[in-house]
Amino acid sequence: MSGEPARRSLDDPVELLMPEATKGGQAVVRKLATALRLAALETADARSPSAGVELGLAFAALREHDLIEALLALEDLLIHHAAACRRPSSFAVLPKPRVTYTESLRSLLKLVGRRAADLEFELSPPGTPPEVALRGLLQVLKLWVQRPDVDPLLADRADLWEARCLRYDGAFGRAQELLGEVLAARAGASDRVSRDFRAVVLAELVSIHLDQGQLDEASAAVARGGPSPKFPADVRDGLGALALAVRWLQGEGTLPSLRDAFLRSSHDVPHGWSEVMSRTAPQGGVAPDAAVQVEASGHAPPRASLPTRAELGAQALVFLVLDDEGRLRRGTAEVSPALEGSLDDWVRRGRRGDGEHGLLQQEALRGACPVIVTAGAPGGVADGRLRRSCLDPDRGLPLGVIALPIEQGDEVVGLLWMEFATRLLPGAGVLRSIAERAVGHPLLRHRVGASVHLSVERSSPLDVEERAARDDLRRLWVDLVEDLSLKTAERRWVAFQRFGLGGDLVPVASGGAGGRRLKEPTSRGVWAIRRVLGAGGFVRYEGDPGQGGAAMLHPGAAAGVAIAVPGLSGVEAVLVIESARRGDSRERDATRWAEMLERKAGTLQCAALDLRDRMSHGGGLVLDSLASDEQAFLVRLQALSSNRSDLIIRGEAGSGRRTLARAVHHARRARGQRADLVQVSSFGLPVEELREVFSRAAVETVVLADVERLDVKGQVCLTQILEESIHRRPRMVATGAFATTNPGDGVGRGEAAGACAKPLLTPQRHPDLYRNLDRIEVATRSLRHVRHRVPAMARALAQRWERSARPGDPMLWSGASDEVESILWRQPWRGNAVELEAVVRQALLRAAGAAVREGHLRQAFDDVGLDVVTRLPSRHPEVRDLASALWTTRTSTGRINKTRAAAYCGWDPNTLAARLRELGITGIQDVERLLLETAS
Amino acid sequence: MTDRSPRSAPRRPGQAGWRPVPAWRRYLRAGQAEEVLRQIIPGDPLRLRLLAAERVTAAARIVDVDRVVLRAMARIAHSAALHGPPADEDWLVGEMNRSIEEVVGSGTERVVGAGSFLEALAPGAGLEPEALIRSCAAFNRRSRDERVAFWSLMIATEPLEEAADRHETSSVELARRSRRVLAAMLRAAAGSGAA
Repeated sequence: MSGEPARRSLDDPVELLMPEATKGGQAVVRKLATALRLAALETADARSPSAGVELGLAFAALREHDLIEALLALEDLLIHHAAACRRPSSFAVLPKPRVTYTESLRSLLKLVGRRAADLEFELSPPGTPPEVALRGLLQVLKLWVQRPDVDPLLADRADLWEARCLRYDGAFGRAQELLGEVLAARAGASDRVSRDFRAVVLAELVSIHLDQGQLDEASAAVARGGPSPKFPADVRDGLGALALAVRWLQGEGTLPSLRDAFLRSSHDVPHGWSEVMSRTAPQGGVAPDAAVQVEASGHAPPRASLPTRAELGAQALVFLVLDDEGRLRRGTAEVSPALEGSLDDWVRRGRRGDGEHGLLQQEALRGACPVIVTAGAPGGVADGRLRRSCLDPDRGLPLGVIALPIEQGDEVVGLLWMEFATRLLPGAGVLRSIAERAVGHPLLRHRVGASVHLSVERSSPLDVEERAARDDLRRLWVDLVEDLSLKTAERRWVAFQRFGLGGDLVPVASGGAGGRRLKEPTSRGVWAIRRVLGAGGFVRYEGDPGQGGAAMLHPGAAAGVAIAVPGLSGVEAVLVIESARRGDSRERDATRWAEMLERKAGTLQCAALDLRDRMSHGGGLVLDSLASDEQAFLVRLQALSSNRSDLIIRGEAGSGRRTLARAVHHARRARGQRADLVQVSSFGLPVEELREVFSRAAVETVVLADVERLDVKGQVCLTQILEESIHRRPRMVATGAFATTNPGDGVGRGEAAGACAKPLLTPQRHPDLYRNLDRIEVATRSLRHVRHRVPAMARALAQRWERSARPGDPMLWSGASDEVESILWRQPWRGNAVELEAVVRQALLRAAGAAVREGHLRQAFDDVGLDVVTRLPSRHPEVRDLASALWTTRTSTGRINKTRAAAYCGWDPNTLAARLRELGITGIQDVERLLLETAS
Repeated sequence: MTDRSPRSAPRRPGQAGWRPVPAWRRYLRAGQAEEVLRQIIPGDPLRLRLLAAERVTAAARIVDVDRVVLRAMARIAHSAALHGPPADEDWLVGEMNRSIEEVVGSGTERVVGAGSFLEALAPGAGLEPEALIRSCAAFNRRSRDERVAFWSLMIATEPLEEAADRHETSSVELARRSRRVLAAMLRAAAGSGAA
């Protein structure tokens, strides 16, 4: 019957499983099955409870188990410490510890407590660096594995751990050698345990190669492990996962999802792979800020130069510098020979650093954040971005690109462009190290001191003058912004002004609620400041994060305007106004704000010069910046500062000759290495010191006071010095109390009119020297010729004394009345500011903490030996005095106030009215004209 | 005809009847591991021998059960001394499972935790001890599904369809698994590979 044999074969498992086997073969199988059944029966036979277990054997098993547990706990501790030693971008693969560090340590301490005679163990004290603690644990492991009852495999595990320690110490070569020895020692073993261990060792070797950027060597090490898995699902161990990672990094296949593969094989995900994943995320290749800041420069020694192409494994390395106009200029470049021809074209294509052509380099500059793009990343957008941005797409796309912005302070000043032929890109720590090194690059030196800062270093609480100067500037900006009629409920504004000799832009004032949605300024919005710094005017921008919109200074802002405020030497300040509302940067608003700020530029410039002088030399420059004559003074100051030539300033004592000399210096932003100002007096000046001062490399300006007091030797020496080209030595600004034919002449007279007064000649004057000094001569104006400067100057001097007052010794000028100021205004001040300062100081002392009044002032005049002038001559008054009185006393709306002006002159109003009629003065515009005319 | 009575047929994987004595946890409160061992060896109050038999069968392992019990006692004494008595019996089961795998995995290719035990059985089955040891090692290296399938058909001699139903797979698949195990064992017995 046909069914009978079939059923019999189903009943007989041997025939069922091996129908084609010979009788002999089936007999072997049956014997095997019989033996296994016997074994199973033996297993299942639960005999007498105590049978087969002797106490001595159990104790031996316990000791063996203790040792195993101790070794496992020790290895857990090693893993925990090793995890702390791994570098952030390392591909080092570590097994997952069985339990937490605390549990491992507790178990181990209990065990070694019980087995103190067998197991030596010493715990590193708290605070020990992880590398040192790891070394200590390794020594314990090496000691334990020497025991005769320990599996020989554990000795190899100790070697593996030693290799790991070497690798964490940066000794990659020695680690590789040791791993090679371990592999060689187990070359013949084919059992499963040995195979598994070999895979672990090879995984370590592969990861070491990856950490060194040796992709080919890593691939070769993978091949030593035999066939590699094709898919993440096939991964059984760390080596298999690394094999897939290596394939991807070499440019093969699609991005494998290895996270689960690593975890499934009881390993953690290597930091290096996590970094690759974050960089190839579909939403973009912008590296998170945190990733760039996680690591210090690692073990690489600090170097001042850029890395080489070979060092990074890159096929192209191009250093680009952002110039003052926001354009990218080519710096040093190291590219493979095939790409050299494309370099200049590529630089031209991406020249505008803040352009919006979707180029990766522009994206990096706008965002002030590294942009890292890997070819073949999920989403498919990466390849398009690479094609648009890479050096030469016709020669094949690079597999990886990094655009690394270089920052100085809070400002992006350059870019390092890197192209790679593999996907194995430098880690975040390496990038940070590169960026730090690049900052010192010579090509960026011209930017040093001219960068944009987002915060200001806090001045010392003891530096009263600096804090006061900053407060004055802040108040000035608050008033300026108030004049703009800016609605600040949804807006925030920040005023950046040049600060210090280098001309750094620092925030000096800010305000606005910003709809409570705008966050603190970040460097992402500095591009707008940089753009108006270069081009002037204003720039309007709209922000739309994620949609390619402009980056904003305040995160959360939707619209913004950056307005340049012109100054003596280019843009003096930038006001950034950003709003939480879209469309809140309208053209007409921006135009209006820009025009208004331009009108106030003189005020800002005066404040800046005053601040610089107060901070650097404890002086101060007080001008009435709204007056037409003072504005003309500023224009001339600009001409003097921008024209780097020797200069002589004449004027009466105390008329501000040295202050003007310093202002000329401060108004010129430092270029190159020369930035310092030195003041020396000519009286008794040794020739050696004179020569030494002019030989200093860092000095830009030497202010030589009282030059007419220079002796003959000094004159000869100075003549020799001045014969040298001014480009190779500091500029000289000499001051002196020369006799003048026209003491009322203004600044720049020498260069403007050519009617320069002859200096007061000393009996032994060097003709060549004075011929040189005569070239550009400037006269300071006596205080009585600019009376409208007096009230502000008196306030500034009073505030200086107020600040210097000791606690319990108060001084207060703020209550000064119109009467007080009119008296001050009216005086001839033959001693100029020195005399004024003496009177103000005495008045403050006389007031003894109360507001200064007329009585105090009159006493002060007595104290310093001055007579008080009660009225100016009214029959033939000086026109400039009349104009000054009208200007000083004008109303807040800009109209003349005859009553007040008459009081200032000490006249009755009718007298003033008569003089005004005679001079044809009807309005403030006539006053401005007269101020200007009488100044020159 | 195949005898399927409980005495002649080995226990099928998954059958359970183990229970420790009541108040078994007090035996684990002795403090030091050595003291715990002195408590749990005489009379086997934790019924570890029976538990080992059940778990070895359930895991379909060919292993020296006495070594498993010894290892389990060491593990239990060690853990009880370190962490105190466990909360429930499942912990004992877990320790036993780990002991089985340790014994299986602790040896090298040749010795799979059942060397001397198998050497004693081999003559009775008419096999060379070395061949039997290698075969068992090959058996223990197979996956659990394959081992259980082989155990059901060849050791517990269950009918194919009944075993397939119990393991919720098809008869063909069960037979395939068993055949793969058998082939690996035969290769190992012949000394031609580790399968």
